[in-house]
Amino acid sequence: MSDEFPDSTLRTIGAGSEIDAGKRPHSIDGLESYAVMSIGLTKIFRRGERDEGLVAVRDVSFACSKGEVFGLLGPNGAGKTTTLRMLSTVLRPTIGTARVAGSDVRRAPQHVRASIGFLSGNTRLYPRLSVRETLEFFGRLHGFEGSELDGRVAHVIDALDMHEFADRRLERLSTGMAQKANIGRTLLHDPPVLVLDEPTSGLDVLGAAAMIDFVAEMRQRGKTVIFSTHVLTEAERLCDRIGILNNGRLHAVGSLDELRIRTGKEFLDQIFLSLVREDDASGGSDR
Amino acid sequence: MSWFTRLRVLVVKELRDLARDRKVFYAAILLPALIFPILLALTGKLTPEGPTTGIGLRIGLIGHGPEVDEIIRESPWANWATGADDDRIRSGELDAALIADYSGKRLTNFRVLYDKSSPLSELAARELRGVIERVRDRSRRNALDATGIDASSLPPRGVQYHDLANYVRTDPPTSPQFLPSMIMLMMLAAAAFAAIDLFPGERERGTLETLLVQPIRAEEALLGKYVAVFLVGYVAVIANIGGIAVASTFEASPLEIPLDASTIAGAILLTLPASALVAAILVRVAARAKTVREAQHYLLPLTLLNMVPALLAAAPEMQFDAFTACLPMAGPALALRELALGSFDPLAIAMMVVTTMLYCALVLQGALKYLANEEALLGDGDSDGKAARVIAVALFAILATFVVGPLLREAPTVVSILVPLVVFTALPAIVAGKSVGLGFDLRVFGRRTRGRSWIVAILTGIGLALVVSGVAALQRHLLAPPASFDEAGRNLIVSIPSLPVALLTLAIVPAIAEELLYRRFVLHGLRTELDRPRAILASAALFALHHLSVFRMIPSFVAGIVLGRLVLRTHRFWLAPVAHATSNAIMILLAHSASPLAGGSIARTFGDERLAVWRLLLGIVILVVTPWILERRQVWPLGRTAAIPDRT
Repeated sequence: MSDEFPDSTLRTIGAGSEIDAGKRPHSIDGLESYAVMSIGLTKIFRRGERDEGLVAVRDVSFACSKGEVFGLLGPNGAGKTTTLRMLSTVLRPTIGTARVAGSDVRRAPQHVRASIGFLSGNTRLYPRLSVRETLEFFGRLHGFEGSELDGRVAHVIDALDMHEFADRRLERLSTGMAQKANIGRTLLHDPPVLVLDEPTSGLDVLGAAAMIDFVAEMRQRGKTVIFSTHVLTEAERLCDRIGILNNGRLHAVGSLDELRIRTGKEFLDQIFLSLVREDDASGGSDR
Repeated sequence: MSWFTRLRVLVVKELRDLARDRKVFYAAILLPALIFPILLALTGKLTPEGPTTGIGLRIGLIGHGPEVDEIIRESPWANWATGADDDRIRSGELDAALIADYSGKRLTNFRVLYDKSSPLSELAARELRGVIERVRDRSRRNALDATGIDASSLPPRGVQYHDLANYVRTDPPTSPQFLPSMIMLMMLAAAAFAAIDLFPGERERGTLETLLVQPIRAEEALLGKYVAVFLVGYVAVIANIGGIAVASTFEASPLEIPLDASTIAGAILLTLPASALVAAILVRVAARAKTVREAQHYLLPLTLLNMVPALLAAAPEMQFDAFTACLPMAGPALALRELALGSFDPLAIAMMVVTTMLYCALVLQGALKYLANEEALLGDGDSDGKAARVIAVALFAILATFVVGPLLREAPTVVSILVPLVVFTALPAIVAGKSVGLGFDLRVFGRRTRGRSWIVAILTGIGLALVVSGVAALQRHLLAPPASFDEAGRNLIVSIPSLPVALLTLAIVPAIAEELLYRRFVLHGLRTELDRPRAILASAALFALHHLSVFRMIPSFVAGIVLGRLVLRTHRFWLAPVAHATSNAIMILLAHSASPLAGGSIARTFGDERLAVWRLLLGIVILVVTPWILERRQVWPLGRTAAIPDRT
């Protein structure tokens, strides 16, 4: 379903090669067909100028077509959240860059932020505001005013069936209700790309099921969705393609069938374990 | 959408969010508005009234004549006694004495002896003044009427008043003096709640990252929060001034401020720059904290630190001029005091506004620079709050010394000098040492100190004495201390006649106590988060503050830098107390009359005002050359040891 990464592009961006800031391109003009394109994304956290730093993400390159659901799988500490934070411009890449919805995360972070809906365990809502006040606030930050703002807020409340608690403060809502409000926040400006970092984390079975339905619906509506998870059944059910992250490296990218062929395993959990063990055995944990 | 519109949207949201937080509501509105009415209502009921009538006062009398008879007739409230002397008044046997000097039959002068340290004696003197002036004016008028001269054309004749008090009673600060610091305190408390809620509070609630993925700049998010913190602090100021205005309408209100509309408006306007600065400082500091608890560690000492200059406004000797107007926090507090006292210096006010806003801009720029670092913004920095804890302990020591020290030193004795040093300086450092991972373990004092190291310490002490005395002398040209300052210094030294005891009490123990606190504990804690120069400067600033006098701060600051550098370069703690004690000892020996150093060339070298610059230069040469020579001989270690850990 997805567009394949052209070989020439792979060579250009040097996927899988060692980090070399001098050779790494910092712009990727001319590849507009992809909704998201990551090129050699690397993040090194340093404490002080003389600190060698911790490499959280190393040379991650992949691309997502418009309307694709891309899953980032990996164990805890693999670098999923850091990668998604760089794609959503919360973190600035140390090396490499990415293009999201046509804008470069380094050059035009505000345009990227205007084009994405980012949802993670760290993006909660203001407990002392009501759902409606929250949606209005974020709508205004996206430049909506007056009747347009009212219309969008009303539409989101309607679409997510939040009438009952729309004027209640978030601190008085259940986790599931608050998650609905948060989804409403990510959809209010109708972004073409959704970045979801472990969206079912902390939700009960019903909440998680609703979230999976939501991602499926977004795919039907032609949105590009990148989401991270360590729940393999979610990835198996939803993703058009999957990237396996381990120790900060993107170890494999492909559809489920491609990964089956590569590893010779049938189920995603077996595929995942095979790739992660292969990476660990080859000394991938050199961060 | 313009940046201003985005800023407005952010500020409105932050204020709406804060307004629903009860803590902020209490701190910004309820407490500031009610504190003065409640305090005044309580103190009005609890404070015993002082003597207001002179009935029964005992007045000694010397001299006799028709004017004295008249005074006695006019003073039915007094119990008159014949004769008086100073001791009878000081002992309280008499409340005051009236001495009428006659030359033949002609009255030449009245003298009133009283003891200002006694409220009754002060009242007696006031009552006598009224009677004397009435009687004297009447007799003059009668005499002049007889000669046909207009009495109003003559200059008035005075009465001599002699205060016999051993010490002058310290009057409690008047309301124009203490109100500015109270207003600043209310502002700080309210704005601190807001700053904590909007930075570490949001980090804990997970809402900061939600904001950062919106199409706004990080600077706009920061400014939105800054404006909200500023407005909360400013609302607290307005509520506080409103509370004062209400309290001033109480019957028998002790507030001596004419609270008309223009004064209230002036006070609200004058606190605007201070509110802006306070908000910037709080935002800068709160932004560092990952959790609310860590922020509290930071903001408690910061609040105390901010209060120190604000409290300067309570000192009557502090003038509000173009120089003091530039002092951070002290300038705005002094401007408020002057407004309450009814004076207006446009130049000083302009200087205060300009410099305060400049400080505000610098602090905000620092905050923006800090938060441009995404790890800092997301709270992933490496701060563990140790620096804040050591600053909190140091400020506790400073405040305790500030409050208790003068009480104990009113009549200086060995015990009254040593108690604040041991209890409020050394002990907090030792007790709190564990909180920054610094146990009272002798091993952490560094590698074994060799014989030549003591030479380094003593030479540093001599250099320090020269530099500090030179700086102090030069400072006198810019900011001359009052005579009472020099007098207090001399009294302290001569209060202990025995030279060995004086050296122990005034040189050795203070050196050990202060070095334990500032070079071992504070410097150690600050080094965990700051680089060497900043850690030395910050510890020296706190050390200077500990000396509690604006006239001693600059020399103490210089001494703090020299001693901090000594410890960090040698990694040997004990050299600092030795150098400090050497410097103190030189000063004491010079001041002590029994010392052989008290006369001759050495005394001239250290004491002559005209040699201040040479003293300074000689001291600097000693401080620079000593390590250079000793480093060549490998006495001065360059390696790193465990004494003060390096951050990197």
